[in-house]
Amino acid sequence: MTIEIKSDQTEPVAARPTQLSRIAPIVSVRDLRKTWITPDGKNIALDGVSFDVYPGEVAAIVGPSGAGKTTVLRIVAGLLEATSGTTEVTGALVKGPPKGVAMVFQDYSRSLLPWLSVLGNVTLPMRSNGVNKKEALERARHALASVGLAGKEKIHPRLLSGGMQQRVAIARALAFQPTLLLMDEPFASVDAQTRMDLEDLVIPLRDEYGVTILFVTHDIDEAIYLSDRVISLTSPPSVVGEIVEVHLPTPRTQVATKKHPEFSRLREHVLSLVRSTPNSVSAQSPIAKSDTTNEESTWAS
Amino acid sequence: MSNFDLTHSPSLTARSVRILWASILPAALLIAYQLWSSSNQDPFFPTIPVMVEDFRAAWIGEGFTQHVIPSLTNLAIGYSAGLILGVLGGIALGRIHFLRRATEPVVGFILTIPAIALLPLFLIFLGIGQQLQVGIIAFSVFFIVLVMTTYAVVGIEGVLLDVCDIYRIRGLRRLTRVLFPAVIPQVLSAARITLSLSVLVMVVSEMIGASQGIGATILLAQQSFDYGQMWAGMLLLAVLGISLNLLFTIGERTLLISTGYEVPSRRRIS
Repeated sequence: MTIEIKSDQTEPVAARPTQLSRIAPIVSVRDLRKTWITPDGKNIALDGVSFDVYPGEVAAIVGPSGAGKTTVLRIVAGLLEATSGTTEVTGALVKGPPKGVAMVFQDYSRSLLPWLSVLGNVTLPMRSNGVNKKEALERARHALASVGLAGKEKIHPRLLSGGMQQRVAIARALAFQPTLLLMDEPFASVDAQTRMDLEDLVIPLRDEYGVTILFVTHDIDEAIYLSDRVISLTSPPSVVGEIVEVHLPTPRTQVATKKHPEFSRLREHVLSLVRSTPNSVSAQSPIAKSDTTNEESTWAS
Repeated sequence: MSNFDLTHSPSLTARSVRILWASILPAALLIAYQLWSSSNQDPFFPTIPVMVEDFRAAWIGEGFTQHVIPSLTNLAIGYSAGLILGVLGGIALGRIHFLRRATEPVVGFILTIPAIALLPLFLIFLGIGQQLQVGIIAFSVFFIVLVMTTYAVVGIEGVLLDVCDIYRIRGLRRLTRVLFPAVIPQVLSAARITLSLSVLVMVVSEMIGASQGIGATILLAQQSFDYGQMWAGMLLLAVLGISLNLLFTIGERTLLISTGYEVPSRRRIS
């Protein structure tokens, strides 16, 4: 319980723009707990995680290895049930995947349907939700053009590079016209250059589609570069360590933004948050294990 | 695309050399048999010309309509029924956990019993006639396809199902666009295994519980010392096996291409 109080205190209430607190949040997570039952006994992954995401913002969830970042995202997505606590998306309690939510998964090669063309992959979610064929095709073509894949509609995803496949996944999410876009380590499986390209792709798309984005990343630079706020989780049993506001000038660019003194300050601050939290030895959730593989090496980058 | 294929396919001479090389052993065996049988004059082992003559007499014309057609009809109905029901049942069992749990012991038990061994039971339940052949072929195909499809569905990538959940891809669309295409490769291998199995079941069930059909004719020929016709039956089964395999390969390719799977450039089936 003490930890929970601490997380409330450390949240910089004064620093949050006053306008935000007046708008109803799009995501509202309250006192989320998740306990895994493992052969070694109970394993507390989340121990009272609370945060809000407001309309139109980009928020990143960061944290040390095994902090349950993906677990939180999956609970918000309605793909995983929390042990206790509540999650609301657009004011409605999450019980299963909420309406109007799209998700981009880390593993693009598995999240796209290999037996459908690029266009088929993008239109399928819309067609499944009552969008007529003509409109679905129109929206799909537009979304594919926005991610730079015009002319690749008829191709099968396996013939595209990893970065391009993830663009298809992003186009699929955008054409769906979600109010909330969730991304689970969306750029973790592509090379560094493609990663920057995809990061720069997302920022203008947010404005174009007016979508709120909540994403998980293990890359501090990426979190700061893309976000308005960075939600930092502690080591498990995880709570929100701090929510860091990012006030960097827009439009952000890879060179200028990352050279900005404020960027370095934030980077140092978030890094210290992520690294300083005490490590409990055994606590690692089965879900979170999947995102630990390439996590250690990226701090240096 | 066609240019690409042309440059990468083996040259015509290389191909004909390969075909020639592959046909040496069968040709040698045929010649050896012919020489041996003509010198031996054993009534059990007629010479090849006798076999071919008997083949023509037994299976072409009236023999074809009276015995081959009914057999193949039973095969087609039983095989398709077993396959379709097996796939649908497998998808249901793969998706519905408690159903899988509940049926697992029974399915596992039935799977260990060869369908042929249950022929006496089938005779009691279905009686002699077309329904016996169709029933036992469908039965033998069904359980293998059911189990392989179930495991294929259970093995579908979790991410794919997450995508379905998030984007609310449900019902028939989920079945036809996601679940079914995802299990096609495994279903096809189950279909291939059960195809030769169903020919076996067809022949044996006709030998025991039918007066018509390929199996019945072969057995009758053997029992009435008409060994030429018996061998003609063997020949027919060989021709049938090769043709069905060829048809299957064509169907498999068509299905894989139409669902967007990568098709192995030259899949060689013995």
